[in-house]
Amino acid sequence: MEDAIQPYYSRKMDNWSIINSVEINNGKVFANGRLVHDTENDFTLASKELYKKYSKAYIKFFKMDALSKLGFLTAEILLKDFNLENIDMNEIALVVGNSNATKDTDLKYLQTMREQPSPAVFVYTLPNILVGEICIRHGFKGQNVFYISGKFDEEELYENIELLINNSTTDYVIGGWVDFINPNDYKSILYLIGKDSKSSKFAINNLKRLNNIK
Amino acid sequence: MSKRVDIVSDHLISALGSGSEENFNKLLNNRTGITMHNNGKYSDNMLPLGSINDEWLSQWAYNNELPEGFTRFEKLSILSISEALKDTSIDISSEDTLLVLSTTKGNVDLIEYPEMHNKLDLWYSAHQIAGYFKAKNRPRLISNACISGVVALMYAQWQLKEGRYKHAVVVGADTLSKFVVSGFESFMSLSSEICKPFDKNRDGLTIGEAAATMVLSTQEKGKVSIVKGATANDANHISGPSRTGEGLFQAIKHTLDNEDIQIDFISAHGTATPYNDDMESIAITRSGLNNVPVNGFKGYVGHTLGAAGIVEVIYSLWSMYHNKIIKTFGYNEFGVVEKVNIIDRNITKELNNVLKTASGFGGCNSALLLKKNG
Repeated sequence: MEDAIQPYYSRKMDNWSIINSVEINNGKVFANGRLVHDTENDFTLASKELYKKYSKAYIKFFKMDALSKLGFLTAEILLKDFNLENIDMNEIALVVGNSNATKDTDLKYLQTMREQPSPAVFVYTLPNILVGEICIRHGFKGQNVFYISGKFDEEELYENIELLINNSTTDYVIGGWVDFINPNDYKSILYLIGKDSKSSKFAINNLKRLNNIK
Repeated sequence: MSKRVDIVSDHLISALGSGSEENFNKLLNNRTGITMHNNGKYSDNMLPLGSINDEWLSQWAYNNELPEGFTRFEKLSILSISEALKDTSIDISSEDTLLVLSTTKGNVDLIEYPEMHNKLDLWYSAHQIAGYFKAKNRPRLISNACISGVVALMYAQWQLKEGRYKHAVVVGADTLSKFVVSGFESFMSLSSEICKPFDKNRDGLTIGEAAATMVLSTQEKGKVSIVKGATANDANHISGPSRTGEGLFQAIKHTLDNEDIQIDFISAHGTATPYNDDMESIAITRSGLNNVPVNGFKGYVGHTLGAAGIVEVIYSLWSMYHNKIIKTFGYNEFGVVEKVNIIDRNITKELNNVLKTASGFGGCNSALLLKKNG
């Protein structure tokens, strides 16, 4: 296999690091692998708790479906201490995946479809809407890739981020997994990837180390 | 180090028929595949839709002894992949070949049947399709609203140009369903007539269905290659296009990469909603491409969602093979905010560099550059 490992795509990754990571895992919130919030409440209540604790007045939050709320909150915590000044918004990309697409919202839309189809629910039946919500919130105008996979796999995420970095002028990538099955079964993890020599290297083992999703 | 990614084969099944040549002949004759539907299957209202004739599918399944157990969405994808691979030596079950799927809603037509809910996961369909072809590598699946097809092609090009795989089979598919049709109806975004991209009187889109496949390779040669693609977000609204065309402008800018390249034709998204087409005219003008011939293909087969990017790249590809720009079906009178060059009759032109664009819900935009090989 002449093409098994090509220096072309490993070379550029040397300078890239995981600046921050946040995971929300069925009521537990981890920042850079450390538990920072724990609740017994289901997502309906937990999302309100997290919004109060970590977000500012942002009325659009309450219009979002559960999947977008989960992605939005994860990004709020991920970026809360990150200074976005002097950053080119056109070069902040999002690479996000999940397994259940928008199944929870699809079933909610099905109910409205049988009575009065709701455009406000229908618009959330695309998984990349959560990426759009994060972009609107923070003004990110970079590249977007939303992928679907059977389960969260750090190697797949790494590959997708690496491909994007190699093939664009992106400065920062917010990459990860946002998956919502029901208010008692949901998981998300987002990593902020950029060129920052003080942070741990952008590598599969570091993505794994920071993650409790099993 | 990076390798040239050629398009070596393609196939699509749409309202215009099965096969790229069959489709393109109808485009050349400016025949639409969109028909009026009033049987209540997808809507209580009479609606134009770009539907696939199920007889073509059953005949193919019978002739090819397709086993039971696949959904309509999966069968259409399998049909398209099989036909696209027919005249190539590319082995989809080889470790050199990657399968990339693009869809927005997969088997969503089954959501009304609770006993079918185990089939709703998009990755379930990906595994069904990959399993049928005994694909060795894990299939990759892109679901990025209406830019999914363009993103899947861009993603496959990334994989190949770095030499991670030698070949990629990229399939985009979405089927008609009450779920999707009622959703767009609730948005008041469907036209009661066949959609009229870029027209003064355009009043909404027409939904269609399709399965479309492109086979890419760095080893086999094709007449056209994929040079580059890019995406960008408007960061403006989840369902409304940007008023400044910023995201699409950025996607085009990143795709053309400041290279001094003459674009001969733009295959636009052209959904025929008032805001989308205006936004595209703004982005194209801001990109300095306002004199370049632009068309929209959605008057022929409708908006095929996750398939649309691949369907329209195949139509663009055949336009390049024949040096013909196809008329924008449904377009009569100029009616977008910026003066772009909408093609209202078939024209003959040497097509060397072609730009495909697409935009979608979630504020996403994309562009892809195709180049004829000398």
